[in-house]
Amino acid sequence: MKQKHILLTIVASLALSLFITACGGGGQVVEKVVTVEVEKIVTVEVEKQVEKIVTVEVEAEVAQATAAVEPTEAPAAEATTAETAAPAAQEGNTLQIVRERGVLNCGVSGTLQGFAFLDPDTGNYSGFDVDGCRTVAAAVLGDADAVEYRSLTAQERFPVLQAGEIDVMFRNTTWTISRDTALGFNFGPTTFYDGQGMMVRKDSGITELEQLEGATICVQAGTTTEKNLADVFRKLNISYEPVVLPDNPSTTAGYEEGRCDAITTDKSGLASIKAASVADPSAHIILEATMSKEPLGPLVRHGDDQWFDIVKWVTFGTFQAEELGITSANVEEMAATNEDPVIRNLLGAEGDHGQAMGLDNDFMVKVIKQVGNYGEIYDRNLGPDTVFNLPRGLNAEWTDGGLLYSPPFR
Amino acid sequence: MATTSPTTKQQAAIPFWRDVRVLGILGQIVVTILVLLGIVWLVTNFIRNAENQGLQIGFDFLNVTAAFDIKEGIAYQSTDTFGRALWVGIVNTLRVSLLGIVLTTILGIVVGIARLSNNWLISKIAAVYIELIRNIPLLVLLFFLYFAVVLKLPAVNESIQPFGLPIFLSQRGVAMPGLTPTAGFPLWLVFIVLAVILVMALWTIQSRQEERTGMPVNKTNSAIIAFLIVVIAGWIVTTAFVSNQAIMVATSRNIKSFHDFEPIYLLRIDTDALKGLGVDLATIDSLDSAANVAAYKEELNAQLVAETTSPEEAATIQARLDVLNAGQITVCAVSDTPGEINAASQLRRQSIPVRVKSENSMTKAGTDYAAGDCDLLAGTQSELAAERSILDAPNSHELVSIGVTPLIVNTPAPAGFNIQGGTKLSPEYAALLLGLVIYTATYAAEIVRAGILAVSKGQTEAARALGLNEGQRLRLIVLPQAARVIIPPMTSQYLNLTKNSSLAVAIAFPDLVSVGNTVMNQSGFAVQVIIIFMVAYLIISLLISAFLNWYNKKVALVER
Repeated sequence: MKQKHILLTIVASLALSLFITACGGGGQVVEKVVTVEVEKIVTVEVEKQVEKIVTVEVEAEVAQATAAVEPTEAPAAEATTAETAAPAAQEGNTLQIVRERGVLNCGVSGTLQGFAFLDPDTGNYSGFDVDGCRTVAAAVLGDADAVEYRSLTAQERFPVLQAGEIDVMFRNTTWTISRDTALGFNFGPTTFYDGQGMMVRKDSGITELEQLEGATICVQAGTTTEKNLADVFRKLNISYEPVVLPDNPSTTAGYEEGRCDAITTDKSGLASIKAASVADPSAHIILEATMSKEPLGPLVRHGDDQWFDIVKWVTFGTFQAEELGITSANVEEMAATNEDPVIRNLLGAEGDHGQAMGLDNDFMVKVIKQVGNYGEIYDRNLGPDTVFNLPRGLNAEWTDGGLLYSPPFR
Repeated sequence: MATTSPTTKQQAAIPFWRDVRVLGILGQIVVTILVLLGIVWLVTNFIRNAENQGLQIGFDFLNVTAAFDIKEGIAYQSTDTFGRALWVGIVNTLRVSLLGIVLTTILGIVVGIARLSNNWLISKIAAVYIELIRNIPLLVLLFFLYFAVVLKLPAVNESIQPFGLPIFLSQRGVAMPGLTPTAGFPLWLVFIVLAVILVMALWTIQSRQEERTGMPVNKTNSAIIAFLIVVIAGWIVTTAFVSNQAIMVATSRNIKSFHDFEPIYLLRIDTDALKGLGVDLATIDSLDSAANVAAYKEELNAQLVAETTSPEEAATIQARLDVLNAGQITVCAVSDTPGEINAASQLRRQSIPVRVKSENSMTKAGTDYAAGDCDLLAGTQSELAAERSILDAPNSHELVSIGVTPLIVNTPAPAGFNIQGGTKLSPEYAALLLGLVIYTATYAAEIVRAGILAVSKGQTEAARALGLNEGQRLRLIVLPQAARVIIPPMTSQYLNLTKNSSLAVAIAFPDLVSVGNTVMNQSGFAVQVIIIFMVAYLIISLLISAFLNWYNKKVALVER
């Protein structure tokens, strides 16, 4: 071929590859479109409420409407008032970024039935952790469905949060000192008190951990379970063989195929696998022994106190709502008519608690109305009407003997 | 028109900004500075951002305790450091890469030559293999081999034993008998070296004798006989005199050798319980030797898996087996030592069920023995003497010295959940090796084919004219010339194989990337671990390509 032909071929292929990569990068364009639409919606809402003010004559309603109009008008102004209200806070602007984007980026598991599962047929995420994401979205953006979920394996979850690709993570992650300090995260309140357990086949006749001497045990890479397994078996002075697989489906497959005699992860995860992922749930048994403490909850990055406060208090709000008997059915009525100051403070009828964090004062009303209180979230995903039927155990309100205790909204 | 030299005094001096040589050097300096500035910016940017987030920089975390276990590889415990864990990962990567490179070369050459064969069937099979496997992504191939092939082998307790040999093929891997060197092995090696020297001397003497007398002497026979005599003599001498192995047992048991454990085992079988489970007296009487007990257990096992057995019958049979196995002899020892292997295999040879309680150190094994967990403690004479001296009643325990051969055979046997003993090949290693070799061999085959086709046809015709057969033509004429063309692209394929071995993370083989991921998650230092990955793979790649470049130069044909 002549040199001219070769040169033309190279230029043509370069142009083609540039064209293809440009097509693939259309995501950014979509983002911008979304933000424009949100702004439009906001302005329309403001206009409607302004009309309301003109037509309604009662003073109390006018006061309420103007109070509602002001926060929606200028989110940027709110951010500054929040910052001036708490001058010593660590400056971070996650709230502002999320509001501008209009969508909350939330990290979840995606493969754990009952907690965060991506249904392959419908493409929808559902689960206990997914509802956790939705509570934050409802509080911050007013819409529980304005969430962009990101499925994460155990190995990639921490770098992804550290890098800022997600805003908050609800991924059945255990709260440990090393993750809180060395890895640079802040943990919200524990939403699920769990412990590590072991699942074996029923016909193996094993009932105690000690009987697993010399056994092969399947475990997921990059989890506290890997570490706890080594520690517990070292303490019991028994040898074992770990088979470390990268994610939930392959670990379950390795156990079911018979590569391992036992599989270990949090007991809630084992319940999920047993109820929904194995072929024959009755052929497996979860041992009584609890090998460790696994408090699971949401986490955010270091460096943004305001955002941490938001995630923390939205979660506490769901605990408090269940304690006070507020459900998605009666929350609006309670917000309007109830006289109890505790309830009025929680639901924003009294006090400026929401504004102090940069949110609307009635953020808990939105959360409970769209997602529910803790009990509703739990029952919907893990309760007696589901295949899991996990007893509340430690995950009950402190008034019922559990560990869920919300500090007061005062 | 020829360019004039700028150094000729007759020509006008070219200003330096138009002098090609100066411009060339200046250009290189500018680019180097730009690249260095880019690197400096990247590094300072990272350091600044890490400090903002409070992440630590530095490699001190390599000294922190790892607290997780690694299933296979060189010696490692969960109390070792992260650095040691990463080193185990690197050794595993090398293990699979080096063997993979060797096997790929062999398979590649075979398939490449097959593709060029005159036989239509062979060349088509090779073509289909190449075209099919080349287009499958390696990760998909590995998943298929691991989950759909290796894990579908029978379960451990139903392992395939080809021809009844003690080789166990199951979904937990292959366990086959291995050889373990003991204390006498170095001395035996000395004997072997002496034997080789003797054979060489004998050969020279007999050759000279042949030349002198003209009569043929059977050198090969005498060489073999002489070699065998010296080696066997060495074996016997080493076993008799250089064996430091011993076992510690309670003096009251009066044990002088491993055979004395048989009566102990037989006594432990609870014949009353057996009677209660419905075993008739004649059978119980026949259980007077370990071999008979083993035969009876085989019968019971056969009945257990037979389809005509009802669940109640199966429960009774299982109960009988449990009674028979309750009398097992427990051995305390340090894991992977000749003492452990020897004691276990000697007892198993007599059909006595053995349970091995192996520890990481003699101190722990001694504690187990003192606590009464086992019937005997196996180790070297000096170790056992030391342990005995710290027991409560040293005189109620005695040391029985055991003669061990320089190499002991380590036979695998089913014990509990897995197979104990023997050399084991894990299914993850097998699947990874198989996948890498099958995949990379397709590329290697095409490279070999290209190299062979690059040798001019005249060489082939000349070889045939000389009367060489096809095998000789390939081996002596074509391949040596093709090697020049084959080696550079093969180097790239070897490097690809080495880096592709990092896909082990998907099938649970603890190579560098798999272990490194765990270290990243447990310690939180993602960037440092990635740097370690890069450096490790860079060093391995540079070593492989340096070696192959040297080899290429060495086998290059010297042309006039």
